Amino acid sequence: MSDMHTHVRIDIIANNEALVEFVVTHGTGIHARPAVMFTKLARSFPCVIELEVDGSGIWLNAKSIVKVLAARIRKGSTLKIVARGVRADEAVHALCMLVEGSFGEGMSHAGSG
Amino acid sequence: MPEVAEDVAVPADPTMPASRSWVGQGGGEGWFVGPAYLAVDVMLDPVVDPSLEADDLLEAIALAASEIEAVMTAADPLSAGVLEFQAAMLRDTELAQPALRRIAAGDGAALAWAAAMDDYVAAFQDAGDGRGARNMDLVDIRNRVLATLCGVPRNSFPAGSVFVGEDMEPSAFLEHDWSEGGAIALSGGSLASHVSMLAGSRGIPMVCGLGDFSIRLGQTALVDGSDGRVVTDPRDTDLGLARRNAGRAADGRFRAATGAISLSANINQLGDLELFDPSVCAGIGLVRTEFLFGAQGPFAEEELQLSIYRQIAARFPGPTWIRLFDLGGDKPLPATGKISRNPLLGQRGVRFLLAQPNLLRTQARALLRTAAEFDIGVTIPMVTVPEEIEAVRAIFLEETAGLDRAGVAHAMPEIGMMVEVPAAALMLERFTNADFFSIGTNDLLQYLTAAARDDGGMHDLQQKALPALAKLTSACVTAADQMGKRLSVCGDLAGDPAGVAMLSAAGVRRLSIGPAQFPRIVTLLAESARS
Amino acid sequence: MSGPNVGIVIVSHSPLVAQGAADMVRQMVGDRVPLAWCGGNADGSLGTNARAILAALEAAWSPAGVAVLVDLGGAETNSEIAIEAIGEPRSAKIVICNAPIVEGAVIAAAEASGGAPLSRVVAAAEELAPR
Repeated sequence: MSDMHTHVRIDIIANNEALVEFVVTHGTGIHARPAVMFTKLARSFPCVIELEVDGSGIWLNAKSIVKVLAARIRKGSTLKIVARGVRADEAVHALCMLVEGSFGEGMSHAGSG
Repeated sequence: MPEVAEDVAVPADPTMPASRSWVGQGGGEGWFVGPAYLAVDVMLDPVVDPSLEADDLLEAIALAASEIEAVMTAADPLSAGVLEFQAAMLRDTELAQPALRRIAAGDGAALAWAAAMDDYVAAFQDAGDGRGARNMDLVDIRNRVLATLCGVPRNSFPAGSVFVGEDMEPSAFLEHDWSEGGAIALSGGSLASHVSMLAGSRGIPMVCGLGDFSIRLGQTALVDGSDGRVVTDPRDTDLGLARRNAGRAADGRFRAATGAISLSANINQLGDLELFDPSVCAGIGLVRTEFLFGAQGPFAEEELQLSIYRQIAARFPGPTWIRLFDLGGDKPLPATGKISRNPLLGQRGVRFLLAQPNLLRTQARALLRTAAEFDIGVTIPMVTVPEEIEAVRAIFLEETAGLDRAGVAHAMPEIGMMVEVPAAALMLERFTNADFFSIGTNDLLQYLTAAARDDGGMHDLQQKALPALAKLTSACVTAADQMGKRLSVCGDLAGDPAGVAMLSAAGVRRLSIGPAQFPRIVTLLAESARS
Repeated sequence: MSGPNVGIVIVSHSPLVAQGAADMVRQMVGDRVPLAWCGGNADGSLGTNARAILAALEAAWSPAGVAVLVDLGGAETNSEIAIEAIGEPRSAKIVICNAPIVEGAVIAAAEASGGAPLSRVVAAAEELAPR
């Protein structure tokens, strides 16, 4: 019934820098509406925020919807988010909660009537 | 967008044009007849003005963003949500980068922009997994900026006409004046697209996936959204059929307008509570407790159950009907070491609970304690005979004695029943010891048709047999009225517009619906109340 | 929902246990409750380390406070160190519960998701819920 399993570890690398790594379980990955919500939330923080998908070594600006969409984050992708600057830990925590919470889209209501 | 091919065939009798019909996927119920307007592709000649440069492009993009944002502020939440994606793309400085690189390499701005956006569209399409349905938004952005760059007015089509094309841009839909009606006929497109969502929410008939079909500019076309058909030069019989298709739904809407229908929520887990608008939600008609506690299921401790039931009952002002653990059948059965050959017809629902009274007693205590503070009802699943209700009431009563001794606050909640076993539904008047009735249409339809509800191959058969369910529902409504007891319907039918029409025609006045379907039923009832 | 909910932190000697308990909590309360877990030493072996607990406390921090669930003795000790490191005023609102780690986390999260104050969340975990 629940697919909200995530492997979350939040490391604090230095002052004002935070990193989180987890596997995306949201059914359709991060595209279209989820991407709008994700980048909007990222832009609400003053720090620099970047993401890396599936250990590619390529870091993308998490505030750019074009970049986030191009990253093709799917269900099962491993996502790393790094934030540097003011409220870095808050930013990483908030973005992680957004994705973990499946963007508030709830789960299927298949069941008896 | 590509042009639609022109029809060159000449009809045999010039005074009576031959009607032709095509079938696609229908969205946006209802039908419309009007002159066809053929969309033309904004395939502008990019060589038009080679002096256009990077600054012109950035200005055009900024203008496009402002235009979209202006439409958003005036639009309803659904439409604004659709456009938000486009606005976010246009405001992202990354969007123009590929085009700017081409300009730096010597291309004119229009060509650079068109080519760069075509690349984006192609990349989106390749992605599969449902993203393709969003590429019309990219086409929309591409064409809007291109039209501005080249000083060409955007595609607009006359009010009261039938839009014909490969696909339709969401902003074209939103900028159009639909007050004189209209319809959409697409050779491509998708029911999962933004345009389909918007058409559905506004009641604009739309058919997509028609494939190649022949139609002339100005030719009369009938678009039947319920049927998924497009008919050129329709005859009276075609119009009659369309009216009948719409009429079935319209009757239900009319009846709904004569007696207010109250809507309640179906809850599977705590997170569902936030998904319902309290201003239109009369209460909670169904809590599927077997799903509330995650992996623990029905083994959750009494204190844990109490904590969760309280939160749910506190959410809405109206009553909260909580169903006892409904286990067995196609749902996970706690290991009892027994294997049933016919799980759907065996020990499930109340039968299982009465055979495993410890689970029932713990849940009963938690519910008795919840009832001390909140207005709740307890719904018993799979009731076949009144004796089962008696047995459950007896257990609740026994548990009150234990709570009394422990000095714990409690109250006896109302105890009602799910109406899903045909033997019970056919003789509801026997159940004088039930305080209320909740018809579970999924299971009831399954047993009535002897067809498994989770078997996709059985779906059509079940739909064809709906009249039997309607007749039985009507009888239940009458019985409940005569007994002076409330009756509600939960199940997929209650969240489906055609199902609601059928149920309301049968006299049902209370529905309980899941979060995904709730908004469209609210809209349906609001519209019928207005008309 | 008025005001933020109490956060829950799960600390085990085993990251698998901590993660599993967090999964069970998440299944039930979704994202209504700030939640973080940690387990294992920095080198990946069984144990607990204050740095990781500190990070988890930061991640699950809520103005309403945080309830910490621990397994064996070392987890409690390192949690105390981490709470001290966070310092006033927040340390006053972080409480280590005397409860079994999984059952305690589940009932604490259930209470927290209903908006219960820290004292009741902790009491529920320690089975001192007022009757």
